[in-house]
Amino acid sequence: MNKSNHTNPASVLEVDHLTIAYETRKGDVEAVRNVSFQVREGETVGLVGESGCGKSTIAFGIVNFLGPNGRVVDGSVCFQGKELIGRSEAELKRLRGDRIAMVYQDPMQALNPSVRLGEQLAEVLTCHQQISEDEAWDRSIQMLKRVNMPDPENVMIRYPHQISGGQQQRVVIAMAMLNNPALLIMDEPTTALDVTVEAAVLDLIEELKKDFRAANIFITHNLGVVARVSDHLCVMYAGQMVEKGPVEQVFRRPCHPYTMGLLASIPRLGDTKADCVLHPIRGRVPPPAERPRDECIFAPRCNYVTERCREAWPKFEKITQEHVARCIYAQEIDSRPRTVRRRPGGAKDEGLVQKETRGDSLLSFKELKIYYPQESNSVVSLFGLGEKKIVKAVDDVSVRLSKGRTLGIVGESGCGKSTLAKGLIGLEPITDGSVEFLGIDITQSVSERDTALIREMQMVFQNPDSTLNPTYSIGMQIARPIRKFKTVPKNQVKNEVIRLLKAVRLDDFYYDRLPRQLSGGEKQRVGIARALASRPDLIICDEPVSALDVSVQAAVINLLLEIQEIYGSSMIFIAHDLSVVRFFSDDIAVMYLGQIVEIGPAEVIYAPPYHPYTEALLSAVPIPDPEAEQRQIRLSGNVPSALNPPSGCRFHTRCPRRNELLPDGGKICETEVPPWRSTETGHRILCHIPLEDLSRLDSVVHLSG
Amino acid sequence: MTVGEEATDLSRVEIRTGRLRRMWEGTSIIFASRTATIGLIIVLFWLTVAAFAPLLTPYTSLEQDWKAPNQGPSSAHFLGTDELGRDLWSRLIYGARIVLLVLPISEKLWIPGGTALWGVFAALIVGMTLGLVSGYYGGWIDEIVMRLLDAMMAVPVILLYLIIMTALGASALNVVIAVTIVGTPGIARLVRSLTLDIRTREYIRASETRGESAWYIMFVEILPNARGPIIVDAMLRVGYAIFAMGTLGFLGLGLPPPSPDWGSMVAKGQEFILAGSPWAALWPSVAIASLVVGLNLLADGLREESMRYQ
Repeated sequence: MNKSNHTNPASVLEVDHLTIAYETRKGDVEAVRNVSFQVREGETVGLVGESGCGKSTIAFGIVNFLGPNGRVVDGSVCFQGKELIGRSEAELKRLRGDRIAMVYQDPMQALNPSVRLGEQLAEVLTCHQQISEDEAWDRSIQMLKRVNMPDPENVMIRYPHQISGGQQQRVVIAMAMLNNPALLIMDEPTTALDVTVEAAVLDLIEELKKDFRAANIFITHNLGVVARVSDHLCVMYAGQMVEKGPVEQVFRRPCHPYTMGLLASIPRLGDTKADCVLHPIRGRVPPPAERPRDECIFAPRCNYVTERCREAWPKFEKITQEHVARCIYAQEIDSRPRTVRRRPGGAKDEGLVQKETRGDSLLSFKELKIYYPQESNSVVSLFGLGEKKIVKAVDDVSVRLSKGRTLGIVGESGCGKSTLAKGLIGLEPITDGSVEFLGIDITQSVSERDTALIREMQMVFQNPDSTLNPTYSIGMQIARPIRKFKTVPKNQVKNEVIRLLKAVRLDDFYYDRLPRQLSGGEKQRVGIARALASRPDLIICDEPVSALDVSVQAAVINLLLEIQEIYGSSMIFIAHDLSVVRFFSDDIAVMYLGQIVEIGPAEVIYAPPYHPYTEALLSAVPIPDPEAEQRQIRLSGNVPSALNPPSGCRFHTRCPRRNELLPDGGKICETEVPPWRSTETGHRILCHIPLEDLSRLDSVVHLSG
Repeated sequence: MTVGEEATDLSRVEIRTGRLRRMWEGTSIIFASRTATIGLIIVLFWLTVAAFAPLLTPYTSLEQDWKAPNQGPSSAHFLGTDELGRDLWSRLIYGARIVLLVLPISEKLWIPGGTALWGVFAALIVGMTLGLVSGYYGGWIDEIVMRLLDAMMAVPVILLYLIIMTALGASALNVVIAVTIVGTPGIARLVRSLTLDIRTREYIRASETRGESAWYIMFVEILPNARGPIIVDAMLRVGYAIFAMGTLGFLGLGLPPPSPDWGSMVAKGQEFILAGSPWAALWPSVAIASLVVGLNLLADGLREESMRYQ
């Protein structure tokens, strides 16, 4: 374990053979088993793994926040040469002092909503140091400037709810950095943020690391994020560390089957369904109480498993000086057949897809507008006198979708993509515009629609935990639409349900199960089966995989693709993950603030010419490859409110391109609505900048290999 | 592809979730909490003595023994007698029947289900419907329903009971009506708040996209998922109803004499406390208190335990 040599900076934290258990009614359950790693000054160690793998438990173990039923069973945590385990709370406080800081996932929960931000920031200083309040206030402002907060003096006197999520996270980071900590623990700090905001926060974390030389522990489930910020990587699986090493080495040559599986199950930006296959990891993470102690923990899900794997708990195998993996075949696994990513004959398929592009129109909407009134909280409006504000959630959107095609809609939160889906399905009243589905006008709400029409359009939802009614068995929930739409005669309903369960790769014994007995991925499959039950022509998928772990996500994407192949259904696929949308869709629409700013076949969207917003999005996507080259384009400011969208081009307030590419610094963008610029490939961009200029821009992403 | 292998053989064993098994799971939650178990024992005790009342005493509730009024506990009279020489134990357990097991609509017609239970049941039906409708529809319907119920809640409970009972007259059926009217606003508020939460879930959106009717969504999709807190609340309300019945009986607005009403037993018995015979007032008070405490313990234990499972 001792690898420190003279050239390396001092080690700040050393975690050695740490084992953490939680007391439950059934006795102690090990959540973390025998984990060792060290963090040096100015270094970021990424802890990565799926949910329930013990990443956060390690972080809480280090700062001793395990709660009343958690305790460290074995091992040591050394912070700046001082042992932390086994000390009393008071001693710990003295030892740690202000030297360890934490940043959590949800900034809204880390900040006190009823105290001004300035007071919260200054308190950090006055609490730990002998310092006057004025000085604390000044230093807080300086720190806010340091984290690139616009207008810091003003932010100091605001309350948390008055600034955006990205800014809140900046404040939390500023708060953590105020005392210049030696160790900064970040637990999914960017997971709740939009991709462009996330990119900016990650840049900030990177900068701060250089300036302050703090040791960082960065916990995340996102391989792309971890590839961007980490120097060292620790891959966690089921409470054990299965692989660790320098980040380039782990990504270039993953030596544990689990790491390999993770990398094979996510699409990289630019991968498409035509030339790639995702490989999910079968099975699921075993719950803490059912983890075998003396065999390889990953054996049940491993593709390379042999009898030897089940004989003893594998030790770390050394691959290089710093790169180790807990697999007995780690040395040779690279020489074994690698997971095949490329689908054979992919190029041919692509041509085929191209030709099908202009089939019969299934769904088309023109100048669709969905507005809703916003009730203000003032006293005046209580009496109905106040000015009625209108949120333009979807404004002037036109799309045509052909049979059998998939339309991907991307955009950050609040861009109106979910409202658009709700409007189409009839849950949100359409203010203006025309929508035609199967040649029938569907601008009315769902309760006024004909049953025959309703059954042709179904939806798959985002959250696996709330997509199924917890009261009823799986069978009953899938049977309900079958009965309602009379898809099959009454006496065959059960057979039909079982057929659908088979179609989503679930065995027939799931029929009697309750939702709470299923894992997230299984629930999502049942949700898909329920949507399929009425045999719809169009399935709207609203972020169907964003709440799932990556290995499960791949399985669900594969399932959706397969279903599309078999049933020929068209799909609208809404997501915020650009890699997934690219992988899944034939056509892509990029939405910003209620409008589509760019639309076209998937291939052309991800290559120049870009709309400046698409360009910024692409440059912000975290790519799970530390060697990928990505141009840095960061948007300034926040997404403006949909209550009062900017005049002219809605993107002009944040557009990084208009200054350089338009005469007069892009004055025209502020006043005039941009025209659609289209190419012969069916690619349209809503921008004042001429296509020729946009085409001349470089591609944002260059992938290695 | 190895998509469908998530279900291992192990999980196949736990699948047989029949109705019986689910019911067992429901009841086992009670025994997981000591509070709930004690509450259940007390409640079960009263249910049992009420059910087997004729077997547990040689007397009826009305039989008078002129020679032995205002007696303390003895071998002949287990808990003593009242001022008319009626056996207190018999009156107590026949009184429990009226509270928990039968509803005397008239002299001849008795229907099963205790007075308190019927009152709470009726309040549940009305309150749940109002709560579901105002929570699911929202808007001005919600506004009207909730303001009306607020107005009712503004009147003190005892006063409301007295107004209703004096207006309707003393009878078991009218007690049920009073309990219903008094209980409805609270239940409606509870169900409304649960509905507001549940209607944002995606399975509600899924049923809306299926074009289900509002009634289907309210009663089939939403209501069953609100059942946990509703059951706990209902248990507490049965306790309140028993308490209210006692109060009304004490004030002479409960069941007409000579029926064995706990409240009126206390009212009659209190005259003799200072005369040296506290028994007639004591036992019915203990009965009311123990049953109410039992129901409260049961409800609290259930609530705690179900919170812990979440």
